[in-house]
Amino acid sequence: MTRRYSLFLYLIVIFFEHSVQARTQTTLDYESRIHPEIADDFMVVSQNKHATEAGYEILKKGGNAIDASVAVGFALAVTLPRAGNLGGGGFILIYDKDKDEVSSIDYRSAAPKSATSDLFLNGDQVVRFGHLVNAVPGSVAGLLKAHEDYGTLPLSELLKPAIRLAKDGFEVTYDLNFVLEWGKESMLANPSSKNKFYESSGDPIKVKSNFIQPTLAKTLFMISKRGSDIFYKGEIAQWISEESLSNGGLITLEDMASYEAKYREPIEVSYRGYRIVSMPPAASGGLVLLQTLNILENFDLKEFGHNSAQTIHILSEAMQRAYADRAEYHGDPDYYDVPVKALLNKQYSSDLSKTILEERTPNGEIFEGDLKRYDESPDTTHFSIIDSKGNAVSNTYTLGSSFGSGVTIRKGGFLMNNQMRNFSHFYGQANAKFGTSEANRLEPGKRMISTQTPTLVFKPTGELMMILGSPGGGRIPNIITQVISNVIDHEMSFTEAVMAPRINQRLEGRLQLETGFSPDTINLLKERGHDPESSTTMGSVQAIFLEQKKIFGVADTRRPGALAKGN
Amino acid sequence: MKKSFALLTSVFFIGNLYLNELPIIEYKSINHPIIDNDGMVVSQRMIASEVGAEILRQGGNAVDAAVATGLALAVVLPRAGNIGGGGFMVIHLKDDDKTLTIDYREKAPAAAHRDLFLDENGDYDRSKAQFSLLSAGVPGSVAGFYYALTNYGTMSWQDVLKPSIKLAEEGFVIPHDLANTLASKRYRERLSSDPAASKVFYKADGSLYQAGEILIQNDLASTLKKISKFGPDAFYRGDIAKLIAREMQLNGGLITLEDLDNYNIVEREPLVGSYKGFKIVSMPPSSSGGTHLIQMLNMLEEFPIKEMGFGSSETIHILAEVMKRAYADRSKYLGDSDFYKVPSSLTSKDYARSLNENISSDIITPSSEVSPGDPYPFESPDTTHFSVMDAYGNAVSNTYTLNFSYGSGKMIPGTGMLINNEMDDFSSKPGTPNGYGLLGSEANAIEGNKRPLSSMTPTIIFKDNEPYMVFGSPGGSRIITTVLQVALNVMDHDMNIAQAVHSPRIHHQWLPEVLMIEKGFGSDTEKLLEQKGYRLYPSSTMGSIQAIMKEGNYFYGSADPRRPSAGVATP
Repeated sequence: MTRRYSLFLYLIVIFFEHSVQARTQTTLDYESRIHPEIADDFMVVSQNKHATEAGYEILKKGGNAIDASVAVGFALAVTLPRAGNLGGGGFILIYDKDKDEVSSIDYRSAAPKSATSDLFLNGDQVVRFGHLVNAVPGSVAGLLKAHEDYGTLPLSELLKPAIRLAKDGFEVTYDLNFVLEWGKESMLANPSSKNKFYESSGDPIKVKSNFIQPTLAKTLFMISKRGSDIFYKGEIAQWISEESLSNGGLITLEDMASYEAKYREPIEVSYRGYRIVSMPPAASGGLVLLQTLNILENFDLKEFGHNSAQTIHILSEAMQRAYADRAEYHGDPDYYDVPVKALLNKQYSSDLSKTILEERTPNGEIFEGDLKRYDESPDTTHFSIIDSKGNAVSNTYTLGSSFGSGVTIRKGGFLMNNQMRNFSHFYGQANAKFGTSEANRLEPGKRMISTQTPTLVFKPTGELMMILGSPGGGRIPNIITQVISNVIDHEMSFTEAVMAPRINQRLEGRLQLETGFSPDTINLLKERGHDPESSTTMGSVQAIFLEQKKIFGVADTRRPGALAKGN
Repeated sequence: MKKSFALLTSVFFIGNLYLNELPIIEYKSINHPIIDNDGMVVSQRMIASEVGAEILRQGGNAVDAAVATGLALAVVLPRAGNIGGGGFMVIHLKDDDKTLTIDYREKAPAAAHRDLFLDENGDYDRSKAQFSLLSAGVPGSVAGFYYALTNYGTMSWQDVLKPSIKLAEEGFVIPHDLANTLASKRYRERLSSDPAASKVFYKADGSLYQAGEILIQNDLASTLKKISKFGPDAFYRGDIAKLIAREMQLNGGLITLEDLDNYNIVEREPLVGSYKGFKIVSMPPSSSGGTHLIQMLNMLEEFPIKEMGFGSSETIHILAEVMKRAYADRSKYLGDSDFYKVPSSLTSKDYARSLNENISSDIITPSSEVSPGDPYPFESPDTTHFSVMDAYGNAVSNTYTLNFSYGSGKMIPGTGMLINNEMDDFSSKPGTPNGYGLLGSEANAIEGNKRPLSSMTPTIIFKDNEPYMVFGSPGGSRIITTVLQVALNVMDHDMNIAQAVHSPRIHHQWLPEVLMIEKGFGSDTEKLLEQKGYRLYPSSTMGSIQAIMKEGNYFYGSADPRRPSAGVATP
């Protein structure tokens, strides 16, 4: 009977499995519940379909990945106003296939020269909205610098899709309408934002209506003709500065003129043989990501299983240790000597991993490391692009909060960031519990730290394998950590690696879980001393994976409207 | 039922975060549905959904759009969309406040008999039953669609056929999914050994079509044109009937001109059940889908599924116990109700309660202790479902198939049409113990003119008497459990429709005694199930749900991502 039974089982198994193909990722993998966009030549993945189409159009015309990223970056400023921007800043990683070299441009927003922390404090709160919290925007400088040094098509060509979308309009989605409802607090307080994004009744622009932005179209046109100078030294700089100074803001013409996007040396570690390359400070996300991976490398996560209580526990503890160091050591490297080498030291990570036990470390017992011993060496959006030559761009940029400060520059039609909030304004206050780090204290012209984490992963054999990044504020590095671990440790298909439920753990915070974790796992986590809480979704990873000469694009489903499109 | 369920895990996830706001988009879910106000079409191919949406845009109702979508799928989804197969349609008509079903399942040719698929030793002959023309039942799709359209649609037959003729004649862009199946060893061997099919699906030199290339089907276009011009007569009595009968006669099939002429659809009363205040409307026999969906929901209603939580080992255990019992009954009691009296008590709440008596939260009931029947082969997983809702309040839930992907792989020469191998869904060797010592089912024995048993489960769930969920799935024997779990995800676990469709699934069908499990439940739960004694079988994905949910003025659509290129289209 047993034998017959086995045969029967075998037949049934064969019967059910007839459509399953070998797990190579060269073709569709019917063991996965969800599948990527597949292409042979190039791929664009962004949070918004119009922006993806803009990048696609440029690649189709023969532009390279950098050309396409400029088109996508400006198109997002039109079609994804909550995060795409001219008035914010970010970070771009560029992979030059011929030279096999990664470079990174830091175009993070910078503090106006006259800014001091007391201006931003309101009791124990930091001011959130309005002109005061605008930092000097860096996006135009960053994208144009990338174009100048790596682009092949003329700028005017690259801005065409964005200008067209602003001038002719696009259909308002349920998502845009819904987020504008959320954004009312900051947006309705600013007349230009109210006029632009809301009806006279105060309701957001209607679903399915055509949204046109003539003022923004004009601004984009000026940039397309006259480049960065018009924004930082010309008319647009004047609009920004005049409006800022007459509304309680701090941005002067000089602040604008002295802003520059800067090349930085990318940081990297190896993780189980894979080379993980990410953004150095003033971004802090890269450091948190690489440090967390360094700690995780000391554990056999594959054996523990994907999203098992044990794996989640290790992730949670590793993340807390990386965040403890972030709170102390991360800042703008032009102002503070960030101990990058020590933080990424493998011995340091290995020592940290030994402090991780079976149960959760109680709050108050994790501190930043004593690095002398190792002295040897929120709403944001990401897009990923690869061109047919193999050049790649991983770009994350932001306005800070959704819609930034809520301030639309009246003459320019674009929203301004609220990044000035992100300095540690409580530096020097003995009683403050957070926001006290010296590394990130406010200084004139300085860039505030950011968790943005545009990342590239190379295979042990050296070829580029992943291009990824995400919005999600302080959760970003944790999000990227999990996607990378899902692929490398748990050998998940690319799409499942992005879609699988995620956790988030900040220093001393409750363990946060997306929906989709088994109640069994939640019970086991409680037994380990965790107090998990249910969370809204974490981030929105826009990723490209390369395998067996095919390109796989994955647009995260967590926020509606994203699109991967390849050819 | 044992009382140990009192000790439940505390409810961890609070429901909707934004209870006081319109829950149009809730950012707690990883997956989001497509939203619209004006109606919706969801099918396994975006191009076919677009065809349906265009019909709605022109003012057609859900039946018009459903028929147009079904015919378009016959062109763009050749593995399951069809005119050479059959299926089931559930229709809700708003104005008449009436829900009805159309059974257009294939019928056995008159000459078919009980021992049709036995070899000289009296054993089941797989190649006869699956890959010979003997395996073809008399197709029902053309009759079914025509009946639906002329009785419940508003547009002309010619108008709803136009888009399919165009897709066949001018071609469509081949998606990776189609290119892949045509390239796979199994289908390449099967289809290229049939001259007519080979001509359509492979290039003249026998090489493969690549994704992105155009597939043109001229013979199919001319067949659709004949059907457009002469209606079902062309298919059941005219040119096409002659081509089918001739091929059967030449190559050992049974279908005669008379069989085709005799084919009839049956409009049947739907099966109606209830679950925690929701009304469940599904397909009666000759599909087993509705019967067992309602049976399982009746049983589950007595367990605190919501409190036990989605994906917990407790919930999965109860699901498996319930599935086992339903599938044991399926093997014994289900068959074409025109030939065999299917006991109506299967869907009664009392019967469900009696089955629950011996379900324990701790112990797995061995399959041998669940009443024996015939584990005859279930239909293959290559069916397809589409759902339509219109702005007038009408709804259509339709599942149809060729049985296997591309049916038997045989195309009727001159028609461009693949023929089904549905006859394999009969119980081939009833009454005698088979190799596993189990009795075959009489209810589903082969008889002339009888319909083979199916698991297709096109379903509509009503809330406050309004259509709330319209959905169904392919997946062979796994269809019923797939539909069941998506229903529970919404009714018990408060998931949005996209999350409900995307979430991982399990399946237990009594025999074999394994728990099939998709990826995504997490290793802790898998371990706990193994500790309980389950044999887990990590499975390829189960089903492909095409679903619409309607709440207030909003339609929410979700096309299952498990099989690529499905899509939600809006007018």
